[in-house]
Amino acid sequence: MENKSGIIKAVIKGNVAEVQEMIDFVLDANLMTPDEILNNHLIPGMEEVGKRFRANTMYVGEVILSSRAMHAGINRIKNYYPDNSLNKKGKVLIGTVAGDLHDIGKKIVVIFLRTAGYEVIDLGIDVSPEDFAVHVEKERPDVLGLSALLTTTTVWMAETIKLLKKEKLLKICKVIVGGDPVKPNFARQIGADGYGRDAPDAVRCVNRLLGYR
Amino acid sequence: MNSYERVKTALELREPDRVPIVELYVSPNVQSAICPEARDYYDFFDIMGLDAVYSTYFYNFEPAEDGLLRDEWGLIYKEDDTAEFLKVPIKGPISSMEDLKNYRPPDPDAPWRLFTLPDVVKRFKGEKYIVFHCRDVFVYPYQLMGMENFLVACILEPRLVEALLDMVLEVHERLVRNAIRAGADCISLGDDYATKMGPLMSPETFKKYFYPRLAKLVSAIHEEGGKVIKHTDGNIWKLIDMLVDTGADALGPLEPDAGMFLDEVKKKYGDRVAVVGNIDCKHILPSGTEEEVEKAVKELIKKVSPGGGHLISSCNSIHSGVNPLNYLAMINAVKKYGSYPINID
Repeated sequence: MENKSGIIKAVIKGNVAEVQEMIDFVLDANLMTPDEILNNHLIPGMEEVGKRFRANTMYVGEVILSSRAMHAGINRIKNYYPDNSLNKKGKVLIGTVAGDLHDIGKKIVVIFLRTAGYEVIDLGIDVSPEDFAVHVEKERPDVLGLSALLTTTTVWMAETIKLLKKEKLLKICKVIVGGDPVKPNFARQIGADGYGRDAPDAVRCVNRLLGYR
Repeated sequence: MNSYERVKTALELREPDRVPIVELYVSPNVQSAICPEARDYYDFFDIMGLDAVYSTYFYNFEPAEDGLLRDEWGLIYKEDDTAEFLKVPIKGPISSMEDLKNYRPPDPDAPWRLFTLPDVVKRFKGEKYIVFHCRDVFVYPYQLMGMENFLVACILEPRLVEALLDMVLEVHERLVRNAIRAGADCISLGDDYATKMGPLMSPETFKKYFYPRLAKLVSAIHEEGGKVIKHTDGNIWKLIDMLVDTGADALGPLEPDAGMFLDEVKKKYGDRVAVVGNIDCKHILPSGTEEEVEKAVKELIKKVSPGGGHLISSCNSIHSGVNPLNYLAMINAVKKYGSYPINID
């Protein structure tokens, strides 16, 4: 923590006011460019949060606060990006597949994706292949995330991908899968584009599919 | 020794005549495949020789806006036709202290609240060990506020969280007292505090809000003369000291996939709590072979059962995806290897 910048520390602490004050200060004093603030402070701050979450030294509530602090920081610099590109990182549609009512893990994935700057639409639980297809067509996401906790419902991941393929909707978005019984081999077998073993990994997977670092 | 005595002895950290077989829930599709002659849910437990019977609370549902359903807590659910027993709400009614002040919790004394317990008592009292499965002080609070809001409130709004938890504690304290007075021998406190990666909240947050209230619930149950099994999924190593300190009589079923190996738990805490579990119901019971199941049961009994204080079950429940033949193989293996003194090479 000692070697980290004030902005990074404030993101880790989840302190919205501190993040905003520091960014205002360095911008006013011309000490950093918005790009530097984003790439050298806000993003590394959240990367550290992800690491600490994995190491069980930060927990979901703390991660949400950090995420809010980071977004407050992004709001301070977004006007420097006239094409609104900061808010256009990508859209992710996500849901728990048919027959499955579990959503704790998926909720944590949603939190991490939003934290990473993605717009996330959460379709909830027990979502049928047909519902996924309707929403993919309507929302035109960059990535569709399918979640399952039960071994028995993972078949609906395959069914959903089959239907999307049949309806030619796989041209619109990449598909990633995750959840306790899901393994990388299974993801490949059913034709998913990616697999996340936990929430930070799901973010890395989406970043990779959309060409971010 | 009958089933009741078998479970009681194990919960008192002694060796009964055989490792007791218990299960929180056995899905009807698995029951009918193994035991087509069972006429109702509890017939299965009787015919198959399970040692405990579990019953649980009931809350009414009513139609809500947009074709959704609302339960007596005010939680909103999507109607579903899945085989799952536990329903997951999609939203809750509380987001502020103001909401909480105007909120009326369900009446724990409502005549339908104990659901099948009175019938179970009439049928099994003194024969089988009667467990009443109940929520404790985490799941309803986070469902009422939504998980994100609740976990943030634990950090930013301690007064709201304390008040919300006290409200839920009061309902559950009455409910568990009622259940014991109605004849339950034991309460299973069912809220999950962790995912496979670790706890959903920091140990400090757990200590501040949940630990004292869980301990209070355990004391109330003990005061009524009942025993307590504390259930939780996930990797709870960071919370386990506090869970044991609540005074619960047993922990489990715990999730081996999340690093909760019963031999390790028993080695560290076996002088204070019994352990329940934990044959893997994610991989082995749904898709393993019968030989693999038998091997897993044999290994578990060898490692965990000697000395007593062990009740065997799956690591969560016999859900709809379990291969019925595997569950049958599990029960048979316990009967084959589980007699005391345990003698497995």
